[in-house]
Amino acid sequence: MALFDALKNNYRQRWQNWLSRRIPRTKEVVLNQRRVFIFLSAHGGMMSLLLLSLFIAGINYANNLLLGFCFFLGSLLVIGIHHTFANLSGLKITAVGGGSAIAGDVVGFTLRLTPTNRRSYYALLLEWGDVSERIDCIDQSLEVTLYLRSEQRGRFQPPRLKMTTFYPLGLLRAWTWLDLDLNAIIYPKPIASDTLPAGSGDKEEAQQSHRRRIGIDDFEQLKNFTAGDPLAHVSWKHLARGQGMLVKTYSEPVTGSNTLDYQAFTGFDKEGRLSRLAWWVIKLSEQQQAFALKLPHRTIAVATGNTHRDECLTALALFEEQV
Amino acid sequence: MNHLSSRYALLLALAVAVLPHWTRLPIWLDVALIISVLWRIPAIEQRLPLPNTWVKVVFIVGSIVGIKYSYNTWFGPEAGTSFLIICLALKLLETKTERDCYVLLTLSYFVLATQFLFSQGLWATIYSVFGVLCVTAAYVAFNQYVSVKHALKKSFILLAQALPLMLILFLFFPRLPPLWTFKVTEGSGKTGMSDNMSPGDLAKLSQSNELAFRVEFAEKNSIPPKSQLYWRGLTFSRFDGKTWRPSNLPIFADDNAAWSNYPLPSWAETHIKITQDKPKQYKVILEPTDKVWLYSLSVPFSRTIGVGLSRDFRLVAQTPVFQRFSYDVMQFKAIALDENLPQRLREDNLTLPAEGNPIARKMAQQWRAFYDSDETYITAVLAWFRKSPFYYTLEPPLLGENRIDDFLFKTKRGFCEHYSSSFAFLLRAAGIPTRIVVGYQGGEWSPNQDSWQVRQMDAHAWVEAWLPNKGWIMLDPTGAVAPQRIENGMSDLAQNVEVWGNSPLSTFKYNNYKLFSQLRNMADYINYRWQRDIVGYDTQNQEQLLLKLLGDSSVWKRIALMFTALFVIAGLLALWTILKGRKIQHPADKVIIQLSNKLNKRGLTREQGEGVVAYLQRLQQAQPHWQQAVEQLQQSYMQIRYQTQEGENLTQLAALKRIVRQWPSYQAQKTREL
Repeated sequence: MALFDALKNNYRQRWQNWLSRRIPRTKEVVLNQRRVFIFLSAHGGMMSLLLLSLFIAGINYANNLLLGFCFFLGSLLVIGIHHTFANLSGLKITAVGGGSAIAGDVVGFTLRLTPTNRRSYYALLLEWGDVSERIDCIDQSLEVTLYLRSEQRGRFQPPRLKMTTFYPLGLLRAWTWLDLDLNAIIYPKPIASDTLPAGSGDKEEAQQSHRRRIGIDDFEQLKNFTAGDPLAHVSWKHLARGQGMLVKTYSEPVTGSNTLDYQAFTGFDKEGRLSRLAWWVIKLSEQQQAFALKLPHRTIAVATGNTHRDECLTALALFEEQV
Repeated sequence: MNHLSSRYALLLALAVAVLPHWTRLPIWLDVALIISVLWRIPAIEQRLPLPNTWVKVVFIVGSIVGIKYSYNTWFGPEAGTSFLIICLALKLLETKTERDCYVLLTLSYFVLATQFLFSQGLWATIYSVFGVLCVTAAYVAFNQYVSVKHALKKSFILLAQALPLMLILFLFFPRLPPLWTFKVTEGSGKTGMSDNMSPGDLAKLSQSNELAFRVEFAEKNSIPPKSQLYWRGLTFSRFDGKTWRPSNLPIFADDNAAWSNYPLPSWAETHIKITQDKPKQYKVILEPTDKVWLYSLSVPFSRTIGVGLSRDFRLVAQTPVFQRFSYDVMQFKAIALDENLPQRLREDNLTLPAEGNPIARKMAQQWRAFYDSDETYITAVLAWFRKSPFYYTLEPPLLGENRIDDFLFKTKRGFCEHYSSSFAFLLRAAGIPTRIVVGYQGGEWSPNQDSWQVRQMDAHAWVEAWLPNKGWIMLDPTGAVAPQRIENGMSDLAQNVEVWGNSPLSTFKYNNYKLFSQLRNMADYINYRWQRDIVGYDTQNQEQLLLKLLGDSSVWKRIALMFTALFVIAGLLALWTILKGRKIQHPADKVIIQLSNKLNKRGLTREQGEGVVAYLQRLQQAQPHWQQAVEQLQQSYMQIRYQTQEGENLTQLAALKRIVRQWPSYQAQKTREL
């Protein structure tokens, strides 16, 4: 069995090597005779058996019309090769891009299928592992997004895309294995954590700048109420005294205390830290709080918003990535 | 096409495939088919559950018993085809998955093909091409989600392209000998005459191209015209209303025959009157028949040992012909045969079944009373055959209890068997002793002109009537209806084409009538050629044709040529498939693509869907020193593409190409920043 497995592995390796020479990894590929494989489908096999029995019957009964019928269907099968091949050949596949997602979730990869000629393409099947998508007809450029389940954080490169067609007769199968230059960013799976991994921050900078921003920690001043201010911040005492509706504002210094610091954890391994950092990034972004992210080789300055969040998550996703 | 309608398309394709078998199948099978289709239709939309296992078991067991009951066997083409159709019906009732549907479609092709086991006519072939078109369209429609129109169109294109390949295969593919031989049905496996004439016997023979015998004439130049070559094999005198059988009178027994190596019996002296002319000599090489009768032209005599002359003036062999057998024959010219007909023979050839066919009987008696002699009566009947709309066909409609009446006054469609049988009936009913003769009519030269070949499809039946003082005379009612069956159709046709081509207006009506009979002849002739050239295309024909085409008989050369032709056609089709859909590009656009390819290594290719002007602008931004070239190119491009008339732009195109050729070199960003 060991020998058999070794042979199988060897064969698989050689097949992969051959395939990557023949269809290398690209952003864009036009299918042609180098890249399209074609063979009888299971139904085509059944049809071949029929042809064989017709042939034998034709010979044994010396029945010319039976033989002619057999030749007709045989020719049809041969012509079918052209048509099935033509239903992939000349199709341009462009890797548009991959999305991003949290590890374990599905992530979308978008392709664009464009005919490089005036033909229409019918009944194409796109398969990425166990995910498949059926396309009934392409006569113009068409974008397709397939959702694959991600496994671990990092850069997710999908396996080879298998494109298959049985059109027009279903008796022949033409297919290709495309290695598209696509990748998606998979964020670490967030794990809830109760202590903010606040780093010491850059004290010097904090003291020099005295910059402050809206926060929850320190009371700063009172200002007049405007619509939209949280009711919790209304100073009821002032209102009771008849001094009008005033709102307390809070601020906090922009210091290291708002920095999510990779080094501030104790007792977790690398992935554990990244997961908890990711949880905090998402949590703080939801609360619209500003924060900075400090990783051993990279620091992302204080900011808020979705772009900031994505930047931080991406940094976490690609942290010490083994490429 | 959605899932449901593709199932309906499938059902339709099945119906097309089964249709030609419909009348041939036993009634219970037709009923079973209807039930399974009627069950299937609501089941497609799942308004009715498919039958469970027990129903199917009952169905299959019942069908197997039914086949044995109907055909008395489980083997052979008829039973086999019925079984195939039962499988189809059963599969229809359990079709659920996509795979089942493909099995059904494949079975449909098979069922469509099996009709050639029973009928090899032109119409059957045309129908089967239509059937293939339908089933192929069902293949296309099935699960491809395309419209019916699209499926039919695609199917048509596929088949049209497959046709030349098929023709080459048909022409060149070596005809192999059977892999194994098997008796198709019980009884003799040999094709050939049988010792009685039942409805349909000769029609079956007419579809076989097998050689019956070869004739070598001693004097090649003086062979009788084709229309006189009636090769007599057997005579039938007993008629039971359906089947004709040979007479069982003792005078037909073997020991009453005139054997070549024995003294002539007395009847041969008294009942044969021949002229003093020198007899014509020929030699017949008979293929094995397993029967004792031999074929010859009237009046024959043979000196070959073991060959004798029977009381009805035909040759017989002492032992059945199990191997190819050749015998020499002398043909004498008769003055009269059986000038005086013995009473027993006379009775034997006048007997008709006591009842049945009243109209024909009445007509015969009335007509005979009207005409004053047997001869004028016979002439009148033949003229009636000629003028009435009788139609010669190898696939006549079914006849009822009163076969003769039905044929003469209702269907009027049949072949020699029908004509001779009903003609003999009309003559006997009028009191004229008549018998049926079966054998072969005509034949043709072998392609190298060394022998005369008679094939099974030349099988024929005609009539001999006895007239006082004249003896037996030969009459062929089929010749009255379809003379081209007897003569060579084509020469006759050509003459007639001329006749109605140059006709003045006054004879328009006559010619119109002529045209119809010509069309009828033509259809008959086409059918004959179809049988001879397509159905009968065998090793020998192939050999001759390819020899004529290639001037060489090397098998390898032939196979090499076949494959070359196949590859050339397939290659041309492939090329066409690739080129057909190519985008037609304006020459100016080609130049832009050229530029884009040139700048590929600098990462400045034109993006998907980016306009030419936008692209040029981008180039200019990326490399400001290209400004002049970009401006020139843009101006030139716009002019060619949108301003100039056709034909003027050749010089401008050259200028455009020059600009691209002399495109300034790329300057790396770094050097610019420094």
